[in-house]
Amino acid sequence: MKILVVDDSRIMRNIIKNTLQYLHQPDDEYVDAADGVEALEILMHNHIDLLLLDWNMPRLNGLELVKKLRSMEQFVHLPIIMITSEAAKYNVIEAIKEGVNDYLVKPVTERGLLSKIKRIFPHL
Amino acid sequence: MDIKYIDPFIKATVNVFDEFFNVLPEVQKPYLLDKDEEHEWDVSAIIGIAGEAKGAVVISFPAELASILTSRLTGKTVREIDEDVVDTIGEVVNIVAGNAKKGLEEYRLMISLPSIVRGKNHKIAWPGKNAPVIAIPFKSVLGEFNLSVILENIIA
Amino acid sequence: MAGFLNSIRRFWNNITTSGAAGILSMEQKRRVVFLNSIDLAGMFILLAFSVVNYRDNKLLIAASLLSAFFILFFALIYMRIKKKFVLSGYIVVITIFFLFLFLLYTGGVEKSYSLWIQTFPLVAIFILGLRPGLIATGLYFIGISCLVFIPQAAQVEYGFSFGVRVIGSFILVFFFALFYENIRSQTQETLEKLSSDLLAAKKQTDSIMAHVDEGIFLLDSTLNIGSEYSRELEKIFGIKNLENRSLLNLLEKKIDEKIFSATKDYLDMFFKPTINIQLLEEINPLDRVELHFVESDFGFITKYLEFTFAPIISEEKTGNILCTVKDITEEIELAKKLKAQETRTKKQMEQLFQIINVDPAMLNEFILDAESELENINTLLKSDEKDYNLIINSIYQSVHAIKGNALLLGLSHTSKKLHGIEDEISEVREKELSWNELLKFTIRLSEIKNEINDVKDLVERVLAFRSNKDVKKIVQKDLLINAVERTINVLSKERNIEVNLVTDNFNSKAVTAKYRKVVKDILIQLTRNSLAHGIEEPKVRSSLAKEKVGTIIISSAVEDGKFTLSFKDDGRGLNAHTIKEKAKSIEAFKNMDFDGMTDQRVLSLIFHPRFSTAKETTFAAGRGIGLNLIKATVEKNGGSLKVRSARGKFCEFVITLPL
Repeated sequence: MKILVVDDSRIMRNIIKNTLQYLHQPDDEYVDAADGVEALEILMHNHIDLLLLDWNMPRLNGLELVKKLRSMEQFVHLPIIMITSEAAKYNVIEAIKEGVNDYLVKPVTERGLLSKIKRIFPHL
Repeated sequence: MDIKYIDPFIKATVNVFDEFFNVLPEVQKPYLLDKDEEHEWDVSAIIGIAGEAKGAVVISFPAELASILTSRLTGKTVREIDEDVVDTIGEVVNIVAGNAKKGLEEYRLMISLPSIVRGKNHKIAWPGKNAPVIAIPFKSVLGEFNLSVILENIIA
Repeated sequence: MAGFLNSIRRFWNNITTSGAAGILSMEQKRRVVFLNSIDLAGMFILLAFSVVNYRDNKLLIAASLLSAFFILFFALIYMRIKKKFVLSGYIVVITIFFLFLFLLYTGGVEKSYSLWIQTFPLVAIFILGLRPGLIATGLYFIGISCLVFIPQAAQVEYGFSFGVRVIGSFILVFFFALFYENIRSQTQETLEKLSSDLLAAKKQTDSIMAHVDEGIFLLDSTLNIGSEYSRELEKIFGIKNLENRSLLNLLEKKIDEKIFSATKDYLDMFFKPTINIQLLEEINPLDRVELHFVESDFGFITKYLEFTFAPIISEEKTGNILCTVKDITEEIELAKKLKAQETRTKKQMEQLFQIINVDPAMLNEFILDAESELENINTLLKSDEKDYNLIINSIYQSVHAIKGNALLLGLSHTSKKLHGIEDEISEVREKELSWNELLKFTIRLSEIKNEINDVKDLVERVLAFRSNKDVKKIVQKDLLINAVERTINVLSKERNIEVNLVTDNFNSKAVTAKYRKVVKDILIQLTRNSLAHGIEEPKVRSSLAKEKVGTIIISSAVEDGKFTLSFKDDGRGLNAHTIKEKAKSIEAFKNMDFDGMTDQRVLSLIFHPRFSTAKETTFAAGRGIGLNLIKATVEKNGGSLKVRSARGKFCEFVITLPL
């Protein structure tokens, strides 16, 4: 499985990638991007199975990227988990309305992230 | 009580007077109003406030000014505080409240429709037991009126 | 046309139910309609046949048919008036019984009456019910058998083979009637049981819906409330008849706008083809929501509600959302109150411990002083005074005075609060003041008033515990000296110094009511200054060969219509050099010519509003306003103030006030 991690903070990306190790899927591949524009570039040229996406980012933020992706045929079914520091429920609802499959409130913990991924990929 | 909740009401009052009556009221020094203090207002419109702050904003007019405002808006001559005056004052204060609402958008506040109390030296049922009322007098060429505020910050 | 048909139908219904449609059960109604219909049909046929027979000159038949007609007519009327359907049923059946036998007896054209008579079992069983119907049919069977088989029993000869056919077909009809009635009554029974079960179930649901203490309701895909909902829901929203009302409409303008629009999106998600129930449960925006209900009279009523939503999925699609809502206002309010109460109690306990050790009379004086300070400020605010800085300075001085008194009484919460406000004013008092700042400090004044009211409440409570005798005794003690003693007690502990107060030559009765507050303020301020800057620590005093314990002497005199007050301490005295050095460092004194100043002139600098020699701003001293305030007050009253000092030995203030 190829997972794309998008966050403007390098440290955050590393934390997330590190947490993903606990999925114990040795064949998994992680790619990362620092903002929405970079992420879109990667998505256009690679087959990605799961997108982990930060909300607040420069250039193209997470929500805008989701809107863009969902309007493109090839990304309609791409699983997206939004990682956000906005715990307010109306924000989360907005993201889900725009097509996010699930969300995770920061800080990212092993249990939180893995349970959300397993919700989308029950066989893991 | 926080000034940020009061400010929009003051601005709205000035705006509405400017727009509807072509009069720029001048805000005077605020003071503490004793709840039992005698006063010279004949009509008061009460706007209830709830949310992150709780209380009321009251705008009070003397009979003379209330009559002037009413005849200016309705074109009728007014001799006493009748239903027309009550309705007009209610409407004016309603517009003030609506105007103030824009300035309060960023706060979690709800404001009610105004209810009117009238009569010489009428009593207003101020909410809150001990909390003092802040009175903000306005002066205008048409006459004086008063905006009183009592607000209690709610710990969220 | 349709209207005409309708009125015909109504008329027919009325006739066939004997006008009793409302009081009959389904089964009864069916029987009554049948009975009436048979009766009416019979009447028409009988009348017709009677006329035909009369024309054919068969008078006997015509007469018997006509009398049967009248019997049926009587039954019809009787039924209508008395509503005695069982009896009428018997009349009709018996009439038909004899009529048919008579017809069979006469035979009719080509023995055709033998055909008519076949219908009896159907009529009898349906009208009378199974058992009586069977008996009637049995008797009837015997009757027709006799007429058909016994030669000359009837007017016509039926003959054996014809008779067998009549009886055979009769038996066939009879069995079909029996069979039909059996099935019909069984079906009826099952149906009745089923509907009574349903009714019982409905009753149970209704009872649950009426008594459950939660709002329970269904939402359809347009987010409207379904017909079955619990009574509590009406109570929660204060609205009756919620069926088909939109939930969003009920919430609109009562909840936060952001939450409101999120709620709409959220509920729509339930009807999307791909739903994640767990996720939906997590992001419920109404799991605890604040609603503000506008009250007609005044303001709002706030309710806290807890909603849950669960999709009801049929055929892989959400048909409805099952919702529950609970009013948790009481719980929330209670929790809030508890928290507020906790903070309040803590504060009150602190203040209470402090108050309990203070003479109530002094507390009373503190409250009166504070109230009069606030009143003065308020008068100034109501006046025409346009100079905001002057007003702010007055507020500052009042706050300072109240703080001093609060500190003196050990009301630490109150004095801390006032100290904070003092700091706020300090930041702006030198600047050009805006109206907004004035409003801000008016709000602060209101907070102080609140604070004083709280103290007042506490004092009243404390007083309620003490006997009046105690209070009187305390009042008689000299309040002025008492106030000074208190100041010394509080501040000497803070600085670890010891002070002896001598008041032998002070006559508090010489202080007129007019000057009481002035003198008290002066004495307290001077005492505070003395303890902050004047009297040295015991170690220092020892090294200077002074008594370890410092002394403050307060004395008074009345001479030539003047009241003179002296306050003297044996501390380090005023040091012209130190004062000069300090003054040089103060921004406000930048342009002064210090070199040409006499010592006396230098000493007078301590009365300047911006002067203070304490190294840091502490609670007790360090705010120059103190001495400045005294000078201003004294001069306002037409008095004078002098200071004498010997370096390292003493410092004396002499205040003269005209009487």
